[in-house]
Amino acid sequence: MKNIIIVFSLMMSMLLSLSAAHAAADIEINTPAISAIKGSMQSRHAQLAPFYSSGAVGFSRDGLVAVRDAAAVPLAQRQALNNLVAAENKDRNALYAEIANGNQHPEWEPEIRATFAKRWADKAQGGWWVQDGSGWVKK
Amino acid sequence: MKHFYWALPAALLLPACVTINIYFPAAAAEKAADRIIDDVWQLQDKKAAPAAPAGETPAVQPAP
Amino acid sequence: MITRRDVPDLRITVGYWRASRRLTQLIFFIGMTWFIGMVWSPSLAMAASTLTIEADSVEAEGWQAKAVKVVLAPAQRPALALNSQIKVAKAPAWGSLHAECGQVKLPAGRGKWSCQQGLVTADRIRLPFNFTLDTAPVAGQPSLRLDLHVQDAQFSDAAGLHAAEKLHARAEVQARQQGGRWLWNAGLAWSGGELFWQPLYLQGQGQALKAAGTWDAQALQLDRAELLLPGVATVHASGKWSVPERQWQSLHVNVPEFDLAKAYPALLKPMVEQSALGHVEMAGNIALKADWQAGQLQAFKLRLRDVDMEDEQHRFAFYKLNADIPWDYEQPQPVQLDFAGGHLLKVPLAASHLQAEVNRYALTAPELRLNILDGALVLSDVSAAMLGGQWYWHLRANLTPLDMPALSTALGWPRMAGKVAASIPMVTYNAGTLTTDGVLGFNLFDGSISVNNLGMQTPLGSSPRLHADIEMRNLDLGHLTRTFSFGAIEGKLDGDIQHLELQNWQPVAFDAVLKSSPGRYPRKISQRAVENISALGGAGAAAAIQRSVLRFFDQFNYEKLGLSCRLHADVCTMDGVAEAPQGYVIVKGSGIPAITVMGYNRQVGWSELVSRIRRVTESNVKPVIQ
Repeated sequence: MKNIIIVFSLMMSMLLSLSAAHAAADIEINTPAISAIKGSMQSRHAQLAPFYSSGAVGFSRDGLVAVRDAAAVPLAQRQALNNLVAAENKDRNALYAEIANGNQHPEWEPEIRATFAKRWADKAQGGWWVQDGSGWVKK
Repeated sequence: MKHFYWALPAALLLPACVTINIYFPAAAAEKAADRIIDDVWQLQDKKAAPAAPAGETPAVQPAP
Repeated sequence: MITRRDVPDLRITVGYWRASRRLTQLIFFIGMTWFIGMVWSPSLAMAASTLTIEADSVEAEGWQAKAVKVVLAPAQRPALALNSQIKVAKAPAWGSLHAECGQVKLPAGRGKWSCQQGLVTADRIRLPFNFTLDTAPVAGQPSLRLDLHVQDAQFSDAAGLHAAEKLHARAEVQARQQGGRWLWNAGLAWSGGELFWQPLYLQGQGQALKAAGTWDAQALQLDRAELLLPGVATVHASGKWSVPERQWQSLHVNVPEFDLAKAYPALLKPMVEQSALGHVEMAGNIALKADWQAGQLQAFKLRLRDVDMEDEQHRFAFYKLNADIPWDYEQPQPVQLDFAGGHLLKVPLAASHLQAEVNRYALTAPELRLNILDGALVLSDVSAAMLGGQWYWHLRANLTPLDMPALSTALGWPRMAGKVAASIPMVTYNAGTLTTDGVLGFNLFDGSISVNNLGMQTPLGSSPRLHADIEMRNLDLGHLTRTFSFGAIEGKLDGDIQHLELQNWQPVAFDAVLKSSPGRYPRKISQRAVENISALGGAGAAAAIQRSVLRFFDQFNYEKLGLSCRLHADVCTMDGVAEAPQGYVIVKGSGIPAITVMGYNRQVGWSELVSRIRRVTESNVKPVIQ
């Protein structure tokens, strides 16, 4: 009886690991939550793009955006800029968490964030600022 | 002793579940990131949008 | 006769100078060099053309300076110049500091000292100024009169979050010593320029501060202060600043009237930008009194008078809002709030009066009654608390019967007949997660709808989630199909939607079964409904009837109808009321002519299905019949 239970549990654990590994083959990004966040980021991009070009905002190493040089922006617009950056980062944090959750692996969030950080930086246009190991670099 | 047999599979399953180590699908994640970034930055706008795949035409078919 | 040119310049060199205290010592140091320059210069000017004081290094708590050089040359321009490298404790690197006076006027004994065309420059700082200090005693008592003009000044911190540009301001301070303490009064007028002090952005347009009090080594007593914000408010304050403790021992602030329409965009919006009140149009008046003791907020009293607020995203609006909100750290206070109307998530609110008790960071109310149209949402046993910046609350809710036609019209839904009522035994909200215990009951379409296990995460966030199990019993199909213009069906419908999961209010998963209710009642289905059901099936669904027969009859009898959809991964797996050779039966006919609607496609893309439903119910376009 004992042996049967042990064999059964071993089989179960193998089965579980197999099914889980199988599910990991692809990354699902077509959930409504991800689409909603993506839509919100998309509509914000037109406002952020001029700040990327002027160097006021850059892409940080943790997959977020950061105010790099507020002096590039008139005083009257600085709080709007802060809010824009805060809203974008809220969306970005939610996006990474949603992708991890949507794929049933909340623990992947740091890797997803790191992947995004790299791809934002790689795909940034010439003239935009990205943060690498040593500091801010203009592409 | 007999009473605790039920706990055995659970005890074995528990570590089995915890130690399942699924490798992070880096390539797939990168592709997913690229798709999202392209959407957010609308990088595909300048290229011609691919024609929408022809959908099924809703229709009432004769019964078999 | 010795001319100045013939005399070598005087040079004093200090190797190392250490100050033990903070900023006051910096001022002391600069003052000392200045003093030496000023006191000695009349005589020195006769003998030397310049006086130079140099120090290799000056160190004090909080800052250090090196290569300090002060040059006094009364006959030249600038008459006084200070150059130094300076580093504040937190700064990562050394910066240069330069200060000069174009012209200096020196005291003859105790008199007027002045620095005209003065300029201070350092990294990100440019401060042109004129400065007069009159130290002549008044009535035998030591006294000071200071007049400082700043013109076209600018400064910024490294991050650019505290900065000013084109700043024009004037400060006047008068003080005289009396009985071991100083009696002072001061005025500050800000006439132009702009200031950004995160998160506030202000433009100088005549803001003025007047204050008076006493000062000694122990405390700065503020007898009265008046801050005038033109067109917005006048702020009155008094209090006592403890010098050794470096905090307000007591502070009392009073704003008798605050015009929200003007104050909200400039002063309040930046403070609450990330909250629900961040994008609102406001009008009306508020009054505020607040007391601090030992640096802690002790009590306040906030009054709202005829305040109108409207969310820019149309999530809520309140009109003619009047409220008395007292708060006291020590004892519970009653809060009152009433408004003449408004809406919450498009649900129209009628005039309501709310009362609650606030006890430190908790709020309780036996009953809050929000009048909605002809009914009310009654929240009872309300208890809410703010802990660590997060809200926690629980309550019971009862919706007294509401007129459905009026509500559905207000919500922009298809017009629904009947009444709606609901009761929610317990709603709990824990830092972003909302859960309900017990069953939410609704009475709609002559039947009942109950919602079990309802939960929500971040309902007001960017990606809200909802999960629930829904049970519908004996819904009147005639009612239902007319409402959604689906083509008439007579009968009753039962439905079970298990494990419903919404993300951003879109379904991502559920297990739904809709089918005829058991029991005896008329069952009829119209030709149009048959066509619409067929259209829902898309390719592969079919009406198993003769075209000719369809044309002759407007409606048919049926025995039962039903459709199930298990949604997972954007695919709906469908089934009907019975199995058929290659598919499933959606409508099983009875009598003559019998009609049977069949479905053949068991896997349908969810978005495709949704667009089909939309086509059928919205445009009334008839499906293509081949």
